[in-house]
Amino acid sequence: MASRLRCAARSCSCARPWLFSRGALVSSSLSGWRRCAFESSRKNTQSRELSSAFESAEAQWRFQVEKELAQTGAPSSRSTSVDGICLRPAYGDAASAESGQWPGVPPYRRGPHASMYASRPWTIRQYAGFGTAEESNAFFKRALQGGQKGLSVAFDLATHRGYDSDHPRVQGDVGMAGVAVDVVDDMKRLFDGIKLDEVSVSMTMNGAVLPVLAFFIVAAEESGVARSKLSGTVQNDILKEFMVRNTFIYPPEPSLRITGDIMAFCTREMPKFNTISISGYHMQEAGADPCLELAFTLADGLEYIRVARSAGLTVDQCAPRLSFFFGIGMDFYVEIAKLRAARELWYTLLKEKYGSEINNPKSYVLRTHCQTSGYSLTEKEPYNNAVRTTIEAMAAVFGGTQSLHTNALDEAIALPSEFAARLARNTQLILQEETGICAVADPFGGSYMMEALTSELMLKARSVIDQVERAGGMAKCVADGWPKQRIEDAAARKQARIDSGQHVIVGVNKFIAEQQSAQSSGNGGQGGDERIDVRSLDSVGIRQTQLDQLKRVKFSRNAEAAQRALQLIVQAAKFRNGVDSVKEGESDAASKNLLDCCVVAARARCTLGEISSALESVYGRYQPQVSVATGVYRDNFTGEEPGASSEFREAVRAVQTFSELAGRRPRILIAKVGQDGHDRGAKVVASGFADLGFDVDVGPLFQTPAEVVKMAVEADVHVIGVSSLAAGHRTLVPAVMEELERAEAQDILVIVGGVVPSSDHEFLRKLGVPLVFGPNTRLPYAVVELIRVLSERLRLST
Amino acid sequence: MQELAARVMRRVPRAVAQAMTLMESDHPEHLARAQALMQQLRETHASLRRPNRALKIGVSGTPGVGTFGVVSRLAMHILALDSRFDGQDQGPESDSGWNSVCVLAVDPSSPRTHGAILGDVARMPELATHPRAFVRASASRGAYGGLAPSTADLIQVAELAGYGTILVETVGVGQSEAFVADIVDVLLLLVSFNSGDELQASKRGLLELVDMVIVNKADGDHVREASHTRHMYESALAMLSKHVYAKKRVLLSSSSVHDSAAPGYTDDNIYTPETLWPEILEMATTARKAKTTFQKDTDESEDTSHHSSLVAAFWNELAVELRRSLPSHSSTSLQQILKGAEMHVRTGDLSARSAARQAVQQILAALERIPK
Repeated sequence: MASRLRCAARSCSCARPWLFSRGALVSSSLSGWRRCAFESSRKNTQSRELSSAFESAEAQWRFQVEKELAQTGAPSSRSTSVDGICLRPAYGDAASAESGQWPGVPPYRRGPHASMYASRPWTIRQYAGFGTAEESNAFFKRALQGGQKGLSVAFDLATHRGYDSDHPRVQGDVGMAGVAVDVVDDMKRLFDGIKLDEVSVSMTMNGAVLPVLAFFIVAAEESGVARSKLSGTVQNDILKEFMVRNTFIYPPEPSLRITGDIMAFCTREMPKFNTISISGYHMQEAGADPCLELAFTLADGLEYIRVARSAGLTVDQCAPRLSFFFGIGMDFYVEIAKLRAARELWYTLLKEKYGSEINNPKSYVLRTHCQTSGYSLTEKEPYNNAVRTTIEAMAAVFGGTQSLHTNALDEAIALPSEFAARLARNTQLILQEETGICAVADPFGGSYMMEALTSELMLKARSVIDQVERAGGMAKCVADGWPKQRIEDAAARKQARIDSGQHVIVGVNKFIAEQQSAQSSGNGGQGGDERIDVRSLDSVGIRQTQLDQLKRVKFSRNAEAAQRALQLIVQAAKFRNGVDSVKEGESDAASKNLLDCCVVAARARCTLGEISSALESVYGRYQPQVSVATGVYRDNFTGEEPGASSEFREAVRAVQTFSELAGRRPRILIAKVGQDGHDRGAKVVASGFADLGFDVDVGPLFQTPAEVVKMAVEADVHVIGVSSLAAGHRTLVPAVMEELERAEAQDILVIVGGVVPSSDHEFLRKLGVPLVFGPNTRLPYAVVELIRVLSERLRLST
Repeated sequence: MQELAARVMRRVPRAVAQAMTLMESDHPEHLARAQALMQQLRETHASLRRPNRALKIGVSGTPGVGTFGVVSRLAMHILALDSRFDGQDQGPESDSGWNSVCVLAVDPSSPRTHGAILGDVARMPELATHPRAFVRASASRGAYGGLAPSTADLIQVAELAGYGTILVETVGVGQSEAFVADIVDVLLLLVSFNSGDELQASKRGLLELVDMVIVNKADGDHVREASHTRHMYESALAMLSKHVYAKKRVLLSSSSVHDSAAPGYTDDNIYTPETLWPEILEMATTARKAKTTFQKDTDESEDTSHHSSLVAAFWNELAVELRRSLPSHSSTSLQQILKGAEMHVRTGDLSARSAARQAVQQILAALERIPK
């Protein structure tokens, strides 16, 4: 047998010799981690899991590898750069009877598929789509030519929040962080010339998911593609919106009912469409550590299964269509372990809760999309971001992701430029084509460290999940708000660790490049040769185009039919709000499915805003409770780095001196203007500023410039700090300045924090914004700068 | 100064806010200007002969009972009562009744960092953006009880500016709510639906001061427990001395958005902030009258309740001012007394209270020795 193996290694193209090498693959060093990882689950899973056809897990794995490789026609082993050495699709302990030893075999710790990337690499899926439908359409076509397999659509914030482009609340948001969609015709222009039955489309939509999905279905229908042929995913994960991203419209309860309706509709009518993408990514971006992200995401998953069941689906109907979405940060080993733990944990949870009703083994398999962390990107020395993204992408791949988005290096500064987007895509292509990484599934499997880490993560996440389940599930917990609180505390802790230098970010709090540390205050990333070209949008023009079209559509449609369709939605929503219709006959339930009603409305050219406000008239619009942690930032600012703690002390001193001279504490309003719901940054700043001695007014989410100014005037603050993460600063900040003038309050200072490209700093300075702080600003530094500017303005001196 | 006063009287939000800032300032120079402004405002007010006094409602509740929700919905309800006004604030002359609202909220300052998170506008966005509502949060800056040191002045500014209803929201139900009680026409205490069993002696002092106890979040599954809590508070109130002027009431309130009919768990009426309004109004009118007569009975003074609240404010301010200025006073004998007392407390020789008493006696004795 051994000689046969050697022979195989010399000529890799010969037929699958390793499949007969049973026993030869045993490695004595593997027994250690195995015992630690699997001892507990061994007895109860092993015997039931392996179907009687297979004598061992390895046999089952071998069978499936054969099958998968045959399906794609991929070779059974890959040659390396060393002549005569080949790689097999997976390595493991063939003699072991333990089930978790092999990829594609329960409990799936080592991967959802037996051959993983050897038969088919992960899908490169870049999230994109900016400005108008036409622009995005061109972008899509280029991406498809450039090797991308699936499309991913980003919608603008107005669309997310259920507003038409002509709504007064969304003036600065139209077309800014994605494409604006008001009516079905926008969707048609978006996919013009793209064969929707051939491309899978992933849509990031949660709040206004009903009209958007209806527009997608009708757009396809009117271009001759039946809904049953559509493939793709809609994010539709409303629970995490209440925890972190805030792009919801209705309160939690009716929102989940909508989720259930969509799941039921798609199961019935769109067999190739994934109805939900359960996202941990946004939690990590909001500051959750990987364990918290893992726990809350899986707990969300359990809640969605319950939602689907109450919408009349079986677990086997809904579970195989759930897809997950994790963020991948810089903690390399932990991120790999997280994905491995996620699969095994999901398997265990489903086994425990629904084992008796699951017949389809696919129900147990967690499949996931991943995105590299936007949070880890820095504004300073932006080229470093390409390196960070590459490392994160590798972690996602070693963890066994099914699809991946790599961030563009300028995402910390602006919406991605064409160049940066191409580089991001190439990062994945290089990993797939040049490195040989795809040849082997779960290469970290069997490492003492990795197996122990995976098990530890599982244990820790499990205890959080159990806590959630005991409290009645994620829907209840989200309504109570404690998951949000935990994530925000984690975010404040993290910021303090960064500011104090305990958590190193190269170029930000350590090894700061010369010309930047010497550079004058406040203008963030304008570091000479580091300047990169970024994309900016003409928001006024985009809005005008949308307005013209809205007028045209509303004029030319059959007004009566549109009204009737909207009425139908109101009735269905009322009905679903009161009684559960699931138990009634199929056709009856179908006629009342909200998505059905919305499809009718979409055909009748009802707008997204009209459909959303019809639903809103029944459900109400949800206004989140804002709470800010205090003390967390200060408690974690232990300042091991001597420089860091002196900066902290200097900030406290500056605030104290200011207070004595001015007669009161410096007072700042932290304002979120526009429909951008990302509030981690704003909250961390609020919490940090209060801990450094400021009186901090925290504004609500989704404000118009006039509303922000009213609050600032009544609180008589010294400063308004505008948080801008969705490129709204070009329209919203000028509007705030105008409103201040109208209120005769020009002496109130305006500063901006968030994602602002350095090319826009001059624009803002000319408007009268003296300070612009980027995403990686150390808070004590910002405080000292702000106090300096304020004292000059107020002519305070000691 | 005159111009600022005139603009305050016209209820220009910017001016009202700046006047409040002046009242809040610790800066010695601002103190005199604040006094001058207040004087100016009173004079202008007197010359304008504005008829109505503001209705002042205090709402107290520990964090988490939903104080801001009740305040916000109550205020929105008051604003919606008169549909003639749907646009901008037209100033005090166009008002009728209670239909312009000023909300003053007090949030705790951190005793360690001295900073504060003022989250009230975020918790009541609808109200904060209403054109006829003025919402101002203040940091407590370590003053006693729920009130920031200058809240009394802020209330006065708001009243002189002509706001019809002034809602004062305080957190940290505790030691000195007595002060709020004196300054407002009616004081509501919000308690949680499940706080009946923890109703302790300490809270009973507070019950003497409040006019209305509202058991909040009495919805759905909580109604039964809320009803129980209501009974606990009622029996506690029944044991209060006869001395107390008006009939206090305990009501159940639901925080749910829809008007909820009591779902059979209780015979009690379940109010919403909207249906509470007439009850509060009635209570305020009787309490205002009663307070005045009560004051007369006990003090035999000519004071209106208005003045008595100013006197209460004075005593509170005096305590704050002493705390602020004594430690930095230049008199060496004074510092000796204070340092000595501090030392006694540190070493454990004296309790904090005895040390304070002793120090005050020494200071007073020293005053006696000063030749007239």
